[in-house]
Amino acid sequence: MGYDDRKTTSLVRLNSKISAVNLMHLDYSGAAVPEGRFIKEDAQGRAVLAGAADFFAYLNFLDTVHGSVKASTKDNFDASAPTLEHGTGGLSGIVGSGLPIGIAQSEWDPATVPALGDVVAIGASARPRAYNPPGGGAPIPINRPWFGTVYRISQGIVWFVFNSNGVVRSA
Amino acid sequence: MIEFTPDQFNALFGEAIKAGGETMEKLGQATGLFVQHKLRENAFCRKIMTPETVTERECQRSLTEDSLEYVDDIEPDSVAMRINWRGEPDKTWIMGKRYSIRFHTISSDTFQKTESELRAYRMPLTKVIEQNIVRDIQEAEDLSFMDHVKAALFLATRHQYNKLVERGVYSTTKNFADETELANFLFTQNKIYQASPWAAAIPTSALNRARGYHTNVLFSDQTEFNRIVLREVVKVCAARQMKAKCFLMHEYDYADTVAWSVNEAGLEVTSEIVKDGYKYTTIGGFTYVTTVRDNPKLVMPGQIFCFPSPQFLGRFLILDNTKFFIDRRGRFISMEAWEEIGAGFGNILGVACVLLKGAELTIPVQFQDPLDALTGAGSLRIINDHTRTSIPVPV
Repeated sequence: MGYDDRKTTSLVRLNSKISAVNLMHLDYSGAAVPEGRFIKEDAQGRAVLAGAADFFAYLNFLDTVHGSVKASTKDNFDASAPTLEHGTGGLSGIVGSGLPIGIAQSEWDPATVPALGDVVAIGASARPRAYNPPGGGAPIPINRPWFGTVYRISQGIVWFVFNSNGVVRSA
Repeated sequence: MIEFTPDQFNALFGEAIKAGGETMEKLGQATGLFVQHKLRENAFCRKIMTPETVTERECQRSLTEDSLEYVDDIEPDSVAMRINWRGEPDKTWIMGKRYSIRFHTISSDTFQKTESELRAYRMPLTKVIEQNIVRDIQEAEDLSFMDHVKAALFLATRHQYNKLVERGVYSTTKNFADETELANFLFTQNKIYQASPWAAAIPTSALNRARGYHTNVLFSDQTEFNRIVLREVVKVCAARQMKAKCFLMHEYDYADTVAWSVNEAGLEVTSEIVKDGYKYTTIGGFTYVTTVRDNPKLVMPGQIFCFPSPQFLGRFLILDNTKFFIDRRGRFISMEAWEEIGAGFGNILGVACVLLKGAELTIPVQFQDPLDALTGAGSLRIINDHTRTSIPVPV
């Protein structure tokens, strides 16, 4: 089972019309945020990676290396000069409300292999991480928010129904 | 250009909403032109760098993403030499330098309203569009421009400092390793005046502010805008082998011209100022652009930016001029405007800013050690409060 990178889809697959997806504009903070990672807003409304304990998260739709996200200012006369980057178009956070999202398994937190029915929480580097549902073999830890449920795994793509508002397992 | 009076526009708007179809398209086109016209009047970046329209054919496709880039040339430096009649010059293989400008979309919000609520508007709808859509787009354009300008200030200061170190003017190492070194340099022209972290205030006796020859961020000892301030900042361009063209400031500082006396303006102009205010389009031969907007990310009172001619600066490119979209679904009307633009500085060295006494400026920074390794980034808030030697705070 492998992720077919010859496909011309974006890393984050949406099984819905773009007009039906609620996209939130978030400013670029200067920190790199890859596609398919969980993000949140910092105090200035800028996009930063979300942490495992966050209760609310968007899913990042566009990598920060894109020209429509950031611009650079350079000293063209000195190759040793640093590049200063700032936001232009900013990032687009997908607001989940029962939205089907597919992300290649290679992008998931490798700590666990996603399986059907698993719940999706925020893993290392804000990657999606699968846990067994409450009552499963090795269930999600108590008080760890989760944001969706894996419903399909095919062709190396793990699909889950995404909700931005986290749900926790009570003790 | 199609011009409409407010009455005509309101009538067309009402008709379009009822009829839909072609009339709606016509309204969209007319409003798009109106937005473009207002942007030309209002966005200050468009007065500093004249917008040029480019087409897809002039742009390159990006190898890594679905976007377009415009690749522009930078003129190479070369030197002539004196040779005797039997001699011949050195051989130089020329290689062009280029930089790329990437495009991005600037869009207003999608404004929504019901037809019934829209009936309550007696004011021209052009005003509504101007106050929402035009203002939002111009703010975003200027913000993007000022982000580049402020980044350029740091990089150009670093460039000039390194050049002077290589030339032997300063007997220290290259680059600024942290905010203390940069602040030390700006206040005393000695980047190692005090060790990091910044601990003690600099006594007035040690102040030796970096001038236009040394830095692109200047501290003035003037509290009000006058020709002395202007002289300080336009000298930066002269010291970088180019000519200053225009300067940008807040209307707050431009108001200082009202109080210009015989000393600043001479008898004839002062008598004009008393009656009508300063009414010329240039000061000291330099054009000026003012803004009244109260957004600290754009231009704050006390900040006066100076720019060389566009050919020494860069390009402001429009790939898709402002388009306006209006749609009606049932009772609900929604409208939005957007454009595809890109701006790039080919040469950052002539961008300068002078701070009046008491003013402050926040610039993005990326520090480096003497071997060019990166040592920390962020933004630095610099305050020209040098009589009390306040401490710059990284933010």
